Amino acid sequence: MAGSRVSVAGDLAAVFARVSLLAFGGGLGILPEMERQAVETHRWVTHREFADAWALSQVTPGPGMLMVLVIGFRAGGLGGALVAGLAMFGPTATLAALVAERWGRLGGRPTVAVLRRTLSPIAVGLLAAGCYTLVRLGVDGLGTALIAVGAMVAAGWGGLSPALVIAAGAVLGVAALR
Amino acid sequence: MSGSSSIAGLPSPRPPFIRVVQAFLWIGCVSFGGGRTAYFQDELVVRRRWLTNEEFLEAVALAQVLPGPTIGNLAAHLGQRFGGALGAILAVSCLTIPGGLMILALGWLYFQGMPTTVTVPVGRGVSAASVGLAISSVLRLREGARGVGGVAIAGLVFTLFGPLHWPIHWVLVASVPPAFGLAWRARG
Repeated sequence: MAGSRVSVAGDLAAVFARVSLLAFGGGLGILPEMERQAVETHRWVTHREFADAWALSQVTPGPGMLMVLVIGFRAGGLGGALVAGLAMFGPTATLAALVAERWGRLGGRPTVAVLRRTLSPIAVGLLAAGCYTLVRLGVDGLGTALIAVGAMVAAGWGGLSPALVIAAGAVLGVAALR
Repeated sequence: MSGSSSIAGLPSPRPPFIRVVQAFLWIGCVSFGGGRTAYFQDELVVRRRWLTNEEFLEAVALAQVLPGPTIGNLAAHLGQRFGGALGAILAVSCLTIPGGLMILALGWLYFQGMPTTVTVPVGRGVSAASVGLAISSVLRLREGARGVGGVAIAGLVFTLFGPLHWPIHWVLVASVPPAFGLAWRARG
């Protein structure tokens, strides 16, 4: 029994570290591969449980990829959840911090200023594309469209803090979207 | 807005660790819904003024270009910037632990047979509101795409990565050369 627990932890670590290192451009792109591994290859969860784990990540704060904690928990208890979370965030966050350190040391040389100005419009485009994905996932009718526009106005022109905007969305969701 | 107020090349002063913990713990507790970079921008650029819009956009671009969950990378990058290796570890931990505990609690209830009738409408309301939040955040950062050329590059990246679903590396192959050319010409 102890042996199988260790091997589950090893599988969780290997699967989630690998999909995380394959996630170029954000987490949404690796959902299909994650589902294939967690549902079909290792049978940690069912398709339905996988979809519900994603839904849970939408009603809890922090990165959406925290859904791997639910899968790890199902596969190997609290230890499994911890292993899955460390594998998903550990290696890639370490890489991001190392790159940040190098990037910071480049300082204000003229060539670096050019690189910075290269990245700015690309980042705006990537964020706008993220909005496109969010519209497709989150707006499916008049009710959700009205909530989205209201949130945009309240956050953009009303100066309302993001937390309050989202809380209002949750309340309106319960009141109007059932 | 704050974008033009920075002096290029001078590193911003480092906030104390306790403030870094406070800021990222707050983001970790309230960043519901998609488009979570909006919370970072609001807390770190608008409210605390630790970064300019331009510095923030640079961090977002690097976080998204590197592999891994974007906002985990963003927290690691900004944490490193504010407080070195310890800053990075604190930032990522503070971002993930509150939500991690909540999703574990909900996951446990779920596997005990909790019905999803409450979480589904809450989730739909949250998703819809996060759309508006994300759009307002991009509008606030639009100065990152200056002039006709900048807007054209942002539009190109949007089209390829959004509606056309190109993989990120091909998006970069198509957009980095013109963006670099534009930045080079503007170096003045």
